[in-house]
Amino acid sequence: MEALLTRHLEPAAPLNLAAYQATGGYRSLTAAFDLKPEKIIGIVEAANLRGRGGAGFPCGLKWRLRGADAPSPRYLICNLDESEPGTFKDRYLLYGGPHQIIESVIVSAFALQAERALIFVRGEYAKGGNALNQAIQEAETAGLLGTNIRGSGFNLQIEAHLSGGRYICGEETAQINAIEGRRPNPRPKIPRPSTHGLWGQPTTTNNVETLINVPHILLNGADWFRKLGVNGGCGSKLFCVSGKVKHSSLFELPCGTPARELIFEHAGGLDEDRTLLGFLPGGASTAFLLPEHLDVAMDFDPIAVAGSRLGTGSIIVLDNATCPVEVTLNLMRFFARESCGFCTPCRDGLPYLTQILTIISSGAGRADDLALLDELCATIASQSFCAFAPGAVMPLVSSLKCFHDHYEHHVITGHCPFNETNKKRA
Amino acid sequence: MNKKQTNDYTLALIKGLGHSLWAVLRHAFVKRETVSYPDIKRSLPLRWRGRIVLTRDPDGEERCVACYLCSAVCPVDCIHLQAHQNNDGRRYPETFSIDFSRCIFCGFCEEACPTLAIQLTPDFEMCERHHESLVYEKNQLLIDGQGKHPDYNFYRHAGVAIPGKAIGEAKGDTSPVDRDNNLP
Amino acid sequence: MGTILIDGHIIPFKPGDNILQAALEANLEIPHFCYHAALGSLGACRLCAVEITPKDSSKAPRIAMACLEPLEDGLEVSISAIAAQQVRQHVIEFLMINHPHDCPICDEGGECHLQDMTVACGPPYRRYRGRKRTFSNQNLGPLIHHEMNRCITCYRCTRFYQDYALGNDLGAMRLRNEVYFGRFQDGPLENPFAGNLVEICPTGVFTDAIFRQHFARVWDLKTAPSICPHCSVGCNTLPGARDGTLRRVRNRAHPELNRWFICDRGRYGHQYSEHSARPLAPRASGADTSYHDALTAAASQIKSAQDCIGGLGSAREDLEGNAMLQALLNTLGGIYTAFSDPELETATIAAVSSLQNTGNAPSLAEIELIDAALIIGDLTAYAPMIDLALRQAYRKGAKLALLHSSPTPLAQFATTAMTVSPQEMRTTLSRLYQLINAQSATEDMTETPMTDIVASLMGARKLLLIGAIETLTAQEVPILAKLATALGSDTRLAYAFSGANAYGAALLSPAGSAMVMLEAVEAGQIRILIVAGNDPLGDSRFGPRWRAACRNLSALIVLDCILTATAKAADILFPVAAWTERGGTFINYEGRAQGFAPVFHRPEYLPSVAEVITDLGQYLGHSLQAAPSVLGDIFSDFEIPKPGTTGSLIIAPSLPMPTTPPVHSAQESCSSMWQAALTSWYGDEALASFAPGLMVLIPETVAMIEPTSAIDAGIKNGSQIKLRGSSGSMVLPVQLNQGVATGTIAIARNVLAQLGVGHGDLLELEQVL
Repeated sequence: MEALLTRHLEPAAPLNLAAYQATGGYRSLTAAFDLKPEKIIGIVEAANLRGRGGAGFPCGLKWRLRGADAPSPRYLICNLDESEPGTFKDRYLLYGGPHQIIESVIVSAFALQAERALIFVRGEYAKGGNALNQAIQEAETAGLLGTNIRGSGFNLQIEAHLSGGRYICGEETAQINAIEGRRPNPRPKIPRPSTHGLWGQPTTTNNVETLINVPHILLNGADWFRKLGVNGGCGSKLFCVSGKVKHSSLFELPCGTPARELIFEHAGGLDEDRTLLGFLPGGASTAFLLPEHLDVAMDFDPIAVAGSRLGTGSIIVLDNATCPVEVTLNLMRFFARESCGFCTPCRDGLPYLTQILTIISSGAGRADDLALLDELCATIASQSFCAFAPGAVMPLVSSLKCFHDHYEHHVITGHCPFNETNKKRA
Repeated sequence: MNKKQTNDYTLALIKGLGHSLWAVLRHAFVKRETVSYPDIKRSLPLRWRGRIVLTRDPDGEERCVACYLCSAVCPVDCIHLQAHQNNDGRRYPETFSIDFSRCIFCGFCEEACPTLAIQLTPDFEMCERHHESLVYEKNQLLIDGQGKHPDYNFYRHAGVAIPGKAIGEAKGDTSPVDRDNNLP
Repeated sequence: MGTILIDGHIIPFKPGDNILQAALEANLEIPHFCYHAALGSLGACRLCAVEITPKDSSKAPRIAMACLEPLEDGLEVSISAIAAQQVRQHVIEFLMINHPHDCPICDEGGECHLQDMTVACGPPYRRYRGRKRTFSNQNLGPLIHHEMNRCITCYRCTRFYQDYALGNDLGAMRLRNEVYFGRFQDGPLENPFAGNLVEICPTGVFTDAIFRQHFARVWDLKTAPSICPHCSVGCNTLPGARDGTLRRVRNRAHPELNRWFICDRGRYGHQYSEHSARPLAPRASGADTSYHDALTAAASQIKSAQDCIGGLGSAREDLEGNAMLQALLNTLGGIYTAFSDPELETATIAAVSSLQNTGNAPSLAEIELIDAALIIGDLTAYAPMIDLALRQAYRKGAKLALLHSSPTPLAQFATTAMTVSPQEMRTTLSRLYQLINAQSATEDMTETPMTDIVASLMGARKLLLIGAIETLTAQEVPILAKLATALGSDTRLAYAFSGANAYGAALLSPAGSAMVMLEAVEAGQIRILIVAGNDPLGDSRFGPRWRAACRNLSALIVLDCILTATAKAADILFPVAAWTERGGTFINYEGRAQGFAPVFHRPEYLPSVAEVITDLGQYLGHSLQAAPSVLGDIFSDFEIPKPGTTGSLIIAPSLPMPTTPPVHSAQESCSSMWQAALTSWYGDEALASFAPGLMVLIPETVAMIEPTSAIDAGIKNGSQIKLRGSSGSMVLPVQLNQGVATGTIAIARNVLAQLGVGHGDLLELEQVL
């Protein structure tokens, strides 16, 4: 297919404003300002644009639920705090073409009638953040931001906010706390950010990949967008493929493309003499899928039916020479390190799980350790304060189920079934 | 009863008496169980609940950390102490007294002690002529050895810092977190 | 409104409550850590798990956190459900993973919430096989000991310190299971309420460092309900003593005053009763003597002096002691007053009089609900807990207007703060009164801060006018009262008095009697002075006059528990019981009479002032009535308030507003342009000044000058200046400070005393370097 979202991206030399406009950039503003905001929301809803940040919540529905009578000032936050292991799509969007992001934020803010928009950029993407700031300046100078944009009567200011660091800033309410200068602990679910978010005002947060679809939907229509997908998927999707494949890369493909095509066709397949053991379909905080799921469409609902989550659409591939216990331990170490430290099950429970996995991995595990892992995961997943911990234990819970034999082998024999060198880990 | 029965009865009586007398006389020559204390002293098992001592740890420091648990559990309130803190952070009892005229040698203090400091020893030879002499102060309680439970130093397991053991150096601890840094 | 069902009990609830609050109100314990009544729910610890059975029976029961779960009528909750117990057990297991093996050496043991919860809901054995993370500790000052290993990350400390007490030097650092609560830079904690961390921390991270010096387990402490003796707020406290020594003071909840917190002065000031220099043996003729001999000596002196006797009570002595001294003096035909400073006496009586006229002062709980306030002076130094109550009002949006002569911590929360030199205060308040009564608003821009203040006062629905008595003169007090009346019936008036029983002392002291007494001593008309709990020789403004006058006395008889300048100069000294060693009554700033009970007795029994006076009366051949009867004669329907109850307003005869003219020490010869202002801090109080731990934090002795005044006079920051007053001089380094009024030099109490200068008096300045 012809790339839609990545068509004009060039990380080595991103297009400036004039060049971007020459390719047709910022045309969607005209289309947007001709429509009423509610109409735009309706179009986005009809396009069935699902959130690409991990949760998969329908974007149009989220916008509609905020309500048109939300009191001013209203905020739109574009979430560019990409920290999910295995995910590198937002980085490509940022470094490759900041103006596409700005255009999408303008039309989305118009749909929400939000007067202030913030782009929350991952701290490690500082260079991209600088480029984004420059692009915002260009846009302001060109009258694409500020008061009465292009005579529409719509005012918008965009700010790029560079994160202070760490994964939890990607969580919606923790991000709001971070912008306010507080510690990035998540907030209670009630009141919702859509009514009391940033500075107590109505706030909507969307992932950057979700937003950059909006200008294209406005220019070409909801039906066109739906037809871009395959196997029931809607629109174009950025898929990251990494792990034990020949060519780890970022691919823009129709939403709904099955994993088999992504792994074996586009990413070049596995190494010689290797077979697929399993894969994570949507980044680290999703459940493992097995070779029997290779033909499931990489779309939100089919993957959920298969027992996992599409998440960010970042596939991590394991082959038959990879120890799933090691992979899970690596992921658990990451999650334990990234806990914000607010609630007990996540803060103290994730290191506990990591410690047990370390013992199992080093060969000192006991028979009842597997049952202990299950027991602890149940509490950690259900009694934490936010969605971080449930996501963190998902790979562990699913690997215990899918790769139970490997765990038993570790416990019973005292070493890794594949690889003697994998036995001793720090 | 007729005469023959009377004679039989008397004979049985004399026989029985003779047996008893023989048993008694026999015991005049049997080995005695009685021990001539104090010339001979019976050895008592280590767990025998006698005189209370305060022991030291393997490094030679006193084990008692003045936690007050022995004083709290004592059923007759015979233990009285006052905690003090050295500049180096080590807590110890500046005074420690046990009133042995009240003590019932139940051993609850030894059970309660978390540092294996206070122990009961198999010594009961504590008679005094004056009541006040039965109140033992710390210098009369503290011994140089480890008592019945060697190889335990509470401070090697606790989290606080003392001379020779900084924070993070206890058994099972990791080194202290660097609080001025947010990096992993 | 409605009821819910908790494990079969029907529990009522108020709208806005959550399950945990409703349960705790009904005395049903739901295990919790991070919830605190003063701080609200947080939802971090996850210990308060309960099982909720949905009304729809097809749905499965769910686990919810009681502290975040809103209430609806008919909700069915179970604390004892197995699933909830299982969650709690896991939470405790997680918290105990890193907890150090410290219980035997941890001060918190016996009152440790973590111990209680672990026994209640935790697993009996440890199955974690890894290592524990550890933290190094910080030196947070002399009052709080820091042991971070014990932390269970409940966030109570930072929520109290930052959100409740509005401090900003302590908070959370790092993340995940390495969250560190400490000061951002090493050094003593700056907030006057930092000591509450000791009680609010559920484990032994923050413990009482003073208590630690002479430690005892909480179950061994002798306690009794008491009232703090260090200021006029009258917070309820629970002192703990053991083996004949006072060890520590804790908060004791009072529903209208201090509910959960006390200030550091109240928590740590108690060390005065164990001070090494505390007088413990009676003295006469320069040597220690027996109580009997001292009484005999005193009686013989008094008998030979016939009617020429004065009795000086104190605002820090209890009502019984003051009343007995007054009764003795009445019997002997002498003069009694409770104030050594005639200015302070007049100001205090004026304040009490105005309170009696305008209605009683608001309680701390009521102060938290105001929406605007006018504050005169440095409230934090005189009534720290009123400062804390005002901070709560500020958090809810109250607008605070502040008039002050020297720096005060409340300035950072004031919407409008004006520095006013002491001599300008009266005209400033009068101008305020004029503006409030004026029909049209003034357009004069030079009066901007004033007009802003007027606007916020007049726009308020619940207004508080409050002044610190020590730095208010007798003229300013009535103006404040007039302001209160002019601003309407929703305006409350309050004063932060100098002394725990200042209100009571004012009720017993006839107006002007302090000056009468001083002049009588100076003229030799009083030859014996009995001083109970007062320090006239150490007074800042009138000290020089008292020192000179007392040389005329045949005998200076002093009753006190601290070695003040007056006690040192006493001819006959009676050591008396400190406040925890006796019972008594204090009347607080509201006029509330509260009783305190004796906590313990020293091995060598020390009598209270009331007892000494009664005994002295006996030795003089007079049988005085017992204190309750004496008080019953003065105050109608008076009953000694029972310690441990909430106390009640004293019914006292109305005091007339005193009309004594202002008194200033000889100022005519001084042509200086500089006024002295008293700069104080939360630890500055007669008894607390004998608490070594607290005195480590005493601010350095400097002369604070406002920058533009300093520039005009050519004085640089850090330079040395020589200040001269009526009785002495002193060289001090200069510190420029925006919080000082123009033309004013703010200096500490001991400097004022050495110079012989009072707040508002002129003093000479000489440049040195």
